Amino acid sequence: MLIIQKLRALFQSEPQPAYDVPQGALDGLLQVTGDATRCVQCGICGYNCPVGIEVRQYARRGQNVTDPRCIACGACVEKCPRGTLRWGPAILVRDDNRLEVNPHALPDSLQLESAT
Amino acid sequence: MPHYLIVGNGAAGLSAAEIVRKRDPSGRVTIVTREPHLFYSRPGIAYYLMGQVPAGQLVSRDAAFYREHRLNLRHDTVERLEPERQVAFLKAGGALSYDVALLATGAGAVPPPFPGGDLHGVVTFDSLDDATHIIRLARRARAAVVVGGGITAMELAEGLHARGLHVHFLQRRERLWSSLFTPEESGIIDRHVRGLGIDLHYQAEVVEVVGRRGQVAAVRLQSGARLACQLVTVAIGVRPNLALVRELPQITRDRGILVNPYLQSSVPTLFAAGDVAQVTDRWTGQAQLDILWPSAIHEGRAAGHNMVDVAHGRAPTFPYEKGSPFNAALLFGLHLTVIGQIGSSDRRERQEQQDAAYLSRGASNVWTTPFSSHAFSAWDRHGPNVVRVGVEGGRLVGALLLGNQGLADPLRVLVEREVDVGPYAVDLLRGGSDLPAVLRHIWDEYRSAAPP
Repeated sequence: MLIIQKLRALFQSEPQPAYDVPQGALDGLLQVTGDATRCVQCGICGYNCPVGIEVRQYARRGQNVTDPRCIACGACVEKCPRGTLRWGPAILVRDDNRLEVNPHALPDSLQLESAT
Repeated sequence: MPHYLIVGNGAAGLSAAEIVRKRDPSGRVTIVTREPHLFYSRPGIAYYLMGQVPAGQLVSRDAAFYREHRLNLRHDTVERLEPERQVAFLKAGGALSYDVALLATGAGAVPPPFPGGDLHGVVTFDSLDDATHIIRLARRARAAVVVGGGITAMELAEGLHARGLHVHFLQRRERLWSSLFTPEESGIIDRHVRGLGIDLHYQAEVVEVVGRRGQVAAVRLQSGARLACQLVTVAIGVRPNLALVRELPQITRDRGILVNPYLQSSVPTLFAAGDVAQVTDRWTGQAQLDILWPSAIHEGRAAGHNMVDVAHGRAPTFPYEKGSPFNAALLFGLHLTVIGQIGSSDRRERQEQQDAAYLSRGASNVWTTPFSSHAFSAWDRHGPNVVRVGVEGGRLVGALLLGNQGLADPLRVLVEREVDVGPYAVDLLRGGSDLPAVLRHIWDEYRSAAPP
């Protein structure tokens, strides 16, 4: 629970642009995330995804790419012409104050049972 | 069971349909589109032209989506409306009665204004099929002329260059996009364009397109120069598609259809959203045109909510608060973000733009609306990276970023939320190389103080 509160404090402010996060500082806690305002749904992201995830359907809603097939290769981040996709925290506090978590992006040591 | 008629299957039309379906699960929804395709990314056609994505991938909603959401998509054209009787007449024959309708007909390219504009090989760039047509023509062409100064023209120049053509890029002015860019910013783009081997011609006015057996052979300029080419693409601006309301004096319009904060036209059962609508802007207080994808989506959604209210005999309940007009683009390898009002750098060009009944796709009239006398702008340039902000009444009202986009998200939030930057006015006014650090500091302060 303590960990969750800490994470909440960390990520409750505005989502940070990717370049603010020092390389490797949050290893294992990063995930591809979308910025709905920037997304024009061109589909270049999904076209370049080596495992065939429809990345656009996350990006246009401003969601984390929570598909468990994601291998975090970053191809979609690199190819997006609008800067829609970036590396963001793998844990998001949504508007309704619930946490959105992709368990695959988290280190095994993190326990989430008491999250809600 | 109300019948919702949506004319147009683009960003505004589809966004409205999605909201209507969510709010009124039993209502009938008909979308009429001139397009032969399902909903696709209009901005994405540039990336298709550049060869970065195949046409099919641009389609963002498949047939199953329309089926599951019971959106009845008709590939037809609404030829005529009778708003008082609430009837629309279709080109293929037949009429549709509706309870509420939305006009989301978008904007279309201004046709070539010079002789020879009707030759085979002279094209505009509005749709997926236009892109396919240009790609086909480009296969048989060696040289192309691109006319126009906005984002669409730049994308055409870049796309045709990527397809191996020699490109002549014609600008009426003495520099690129002079209504938006400062001379420094124009110069940065100029170097990137030339670096690719594209021929930039300034103060180049087309006199005519010369044909041979009905095909484009050359473009003749006012200077007397003659540029041999097999393809001419014209992107001098777009204007709202108003054909449906042209014969309807009861629908109030200016450059687009004028709407109230609920996206209603002067006939309450007829809404308008997207490029075709002219919405009052909270920054400038004026009814402005935005030819922008995110604006179209937000307007479409707001219209969808209010259409459901009106269809059920209620007053509309979802006022649309126009956000700061935003666009992000990648031009010749340089990222560009424009947010809100940054003022015009060229009085003459701006006046011409306001006078002409069109603006370029991917732009907003708000961007270049002149500041009041109390406003100022500040900028910094470091290599190809530019940060420029507009400050008025102690608030950041707009920002332009070229190259490095590190401040794009912070500035979007600071502008959108009208954050008080009064205490930093002196630092901002100084501009120059401290500016990025000052803005970063304002952002850090705001974030640490902002309530969750």
